[in-house]
Amino acid sequence: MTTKTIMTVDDSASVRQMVTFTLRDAGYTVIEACDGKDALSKVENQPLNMVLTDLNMPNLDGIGLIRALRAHPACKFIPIIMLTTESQAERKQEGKAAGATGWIVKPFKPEQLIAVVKKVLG
Amino acid sequence: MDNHRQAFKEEAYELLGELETALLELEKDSDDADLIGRVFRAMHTIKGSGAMFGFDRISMFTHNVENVYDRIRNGKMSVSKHLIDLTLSACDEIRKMLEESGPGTAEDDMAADALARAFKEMLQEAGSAVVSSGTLSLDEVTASKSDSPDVPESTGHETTWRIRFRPKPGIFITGTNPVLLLNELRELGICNVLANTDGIPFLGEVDPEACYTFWDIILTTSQDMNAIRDVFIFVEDDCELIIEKIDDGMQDDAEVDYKKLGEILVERGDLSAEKLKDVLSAQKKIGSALVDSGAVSPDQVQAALVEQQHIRSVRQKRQAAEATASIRVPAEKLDSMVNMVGELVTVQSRLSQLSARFNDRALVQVAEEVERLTSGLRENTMSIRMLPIGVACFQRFQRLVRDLSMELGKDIVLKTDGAETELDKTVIEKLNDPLIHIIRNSIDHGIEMPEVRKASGKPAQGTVHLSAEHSGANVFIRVSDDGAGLDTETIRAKALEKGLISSDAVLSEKDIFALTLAPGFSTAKTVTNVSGRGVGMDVVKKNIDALQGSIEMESQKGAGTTITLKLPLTMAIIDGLLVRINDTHYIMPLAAIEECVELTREDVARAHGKHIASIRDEIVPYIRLREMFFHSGDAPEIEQIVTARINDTRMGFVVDQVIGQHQTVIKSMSRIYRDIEHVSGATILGDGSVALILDMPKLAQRAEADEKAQFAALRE
Amino acid sequence: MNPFEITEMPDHTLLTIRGEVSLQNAGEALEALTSFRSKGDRLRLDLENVETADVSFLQLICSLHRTCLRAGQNLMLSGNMPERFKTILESSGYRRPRACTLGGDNPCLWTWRDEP
Repeated sequence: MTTKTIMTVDDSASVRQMVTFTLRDAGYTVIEACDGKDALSKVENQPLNMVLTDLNMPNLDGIGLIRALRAHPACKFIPIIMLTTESQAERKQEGKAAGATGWIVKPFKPEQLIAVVKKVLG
Repeated sequence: MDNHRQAFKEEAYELLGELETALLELEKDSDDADLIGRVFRAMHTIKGSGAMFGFDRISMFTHNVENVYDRIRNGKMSVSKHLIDLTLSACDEIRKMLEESGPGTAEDDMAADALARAFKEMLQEAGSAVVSSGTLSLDEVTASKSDSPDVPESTGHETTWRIRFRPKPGIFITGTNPVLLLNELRELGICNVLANTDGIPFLGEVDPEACYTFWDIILTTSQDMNAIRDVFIFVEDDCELIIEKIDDGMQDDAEVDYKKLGEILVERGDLSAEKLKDVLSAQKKIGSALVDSGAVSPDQVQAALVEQQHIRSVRQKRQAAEATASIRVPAEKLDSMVNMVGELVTVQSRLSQLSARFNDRALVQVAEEVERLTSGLRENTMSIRMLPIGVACFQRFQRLVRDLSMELGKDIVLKTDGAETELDKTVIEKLNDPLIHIIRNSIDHGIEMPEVRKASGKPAQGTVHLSAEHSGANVFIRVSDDGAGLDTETIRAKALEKGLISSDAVLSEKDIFALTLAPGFSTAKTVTNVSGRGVGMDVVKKNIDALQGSIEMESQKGAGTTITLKLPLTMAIIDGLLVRINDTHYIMPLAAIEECVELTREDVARAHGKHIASIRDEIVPYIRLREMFFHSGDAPEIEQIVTARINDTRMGFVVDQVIGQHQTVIKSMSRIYRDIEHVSGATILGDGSVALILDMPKLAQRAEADEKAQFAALRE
Repeated sequence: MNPFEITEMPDHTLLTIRGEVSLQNAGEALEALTSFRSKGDRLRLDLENVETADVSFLQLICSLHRTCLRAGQNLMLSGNMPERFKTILESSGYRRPRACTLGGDNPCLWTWRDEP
């Protein structure tokens, strides 16, 4: 079976590094993007199986990215998980309305990340 | 993780640098939304990522700053010179925290606190409505860490749930695959899933990207409702989810039969009760009748049938499990089985001897195999006979204590410990009477009347404490009370009166307590209904001796008495050490034995006639069993000492030869030999001959007494 | 590769489906099924080479089947139910002992007997 490809979108390099490290360790192929705009520019390059995105980012934020991805034929049905902080309950709703599949609350541990990925990706 | 922490530090330093630049620019142009956004995001990242990598102080501290800029971003506050100054100091503070990356000093904390307060005040001035979300404690930060699907707790027993999961048509566009959720449910337990397809339209009307299916699920799991809800956590708002408990797994004798089909459909809300009544009156097969009448769809009937079958199979399995979990067998069947195992052990040792004599390899192999199996069989059989002492014995004493204390006008409570301790059935049976007697004694003689207790500063309610615990091949059973304790003077006077001791006898406290175990000793001033019916502690002692056990008493005047019974785990078959003197074999119970060493004639000579040997630099007194049992002839050149620990002292037993370990089936001896001391029983060896089982504590006592007598004779 | 291939046979029309059929190509699938149905009254469905299928595809086949039944067309699987497809049906809860409402007395496509 071919490995699944996940894109991690975050303006925090350390979070990106942690996510990438954890997912690669679990056998996924990972593509990094530093904000929504960067993510959209990389969507065309290869089929994605899943996207993990932060919400607060420069240029194009997470909500905007989710909307754009759902409008994109290749990403219309893939799971999109948003990374939120505890104070962003409204943002969670906004993200779901934009088409997010689920969320993971920051801070999270590597095993929690894997559990969420397994949940939505199978 | 350290790797990631380092990455975060580098990132944070970079962000702080950027922040300063942005702040200085912002000072010049305080309305630049882009700059404000940059400051907010930098703070947000420092906060969020800081918490990710364990920089909780930084995360907490930055939270307030982030909130202020969030409000500015949304036009609810404006930038001021004061704010820029404060934010710059906050940057310095964060940098300091990064360098420490541990708990800071009190001074640092104060500076950070002052800054945090300043930002908080700013939020308060701007409007109190948001203040609640503007204060975040470390607790909240850490608590939120658990806010994601965790491994759910198990509730212990299995419950069956009826789940209906009806996603909204748009569920697919949120990237949700319902099959993955079904698979997650399947991981929780036994699961039956049926998709209901009633809602799928014809080809011309179908939207290929909409979900028309809903699912009826029956799940039997030991997980609780929350675990099931957690599966659906991401789709809670995008579906209709009904979870109902339909079997709690608790009815032990529940009939396998489950609800009727119509009943299930009404419960599920698929059918109204009136409709059901209508259809039932038609007297057709219920399922097809319902479908024919159009009251429900075939899918709904199938889902209900699945539920029926699921519950039936779960209940059948449960009943089967309960039926096979334990069986009741008459105790005598067990007893005869133990006897047969005993015979088998004897035959097996004969086989081993024979095979050793013929020295045929094939035979030896078979003999070894038989030995292994016999030993396993023996252990197994013995374990079947083990019962928890609480159920078999302790329980009935509650009533005894209650009744007796009422009768005597005392207030006494019985507490028990180690009720789960297992002991051979026969041992427990024979323990019952001695324990009743000891407890009676405690209640009658030990614990005082409530007034007396109060006067001496004790609680009015007395306590009898009954406990059991394992220790090696033994079980210790203790009965202690917080009563008056034993009075050594009274005991002594009584023993003198009864002629049990001479007036000049020098006795230790322990010796005096032991006197109460002597035949015909009773210290109760009046004969009561409860104890003192002529049956004294001597009977208890006899019973315990018969069980190969021992009694020890401890007491403190005014504080209470503790009687400890030490008993072997089992008394049907024991591990013994087979030894030989001339042609006679003896068995020593292995439990007490420490080691075997050689004793040469030189060793004996060196001790100048005294029966002591130096073993591992310790002087150990020994008994020559050859002399004790009057064996004729000379001892061999090299004899062997078997050392054992008896009543906390080491004692040696000299024999001609130690043959080895022996599984010993204890046979009781005829009544004729009942009064023979030093021997607790007999066993039959492989060659058919009899070996006596030595009562080592008795032998030791006897040797001690002999020595004292000798010493006294010498003095005279 | 086109996952939907319609072949006109002497006495029936065959639709061969290959590879992955999911939401990603659900629109295409609907088009193919609609066209397939218009080809004749004896329709055969070959699922032997389906790698993966999701609920959206199963729904479309159900929709096709009930549309055919209503129009008096005969739709059946060509050959036996492939093992891989059985797994898909079981995990999605689509395997059923009896036909659905619209199936009436007609055999359901998603019914099979387990080998003893």
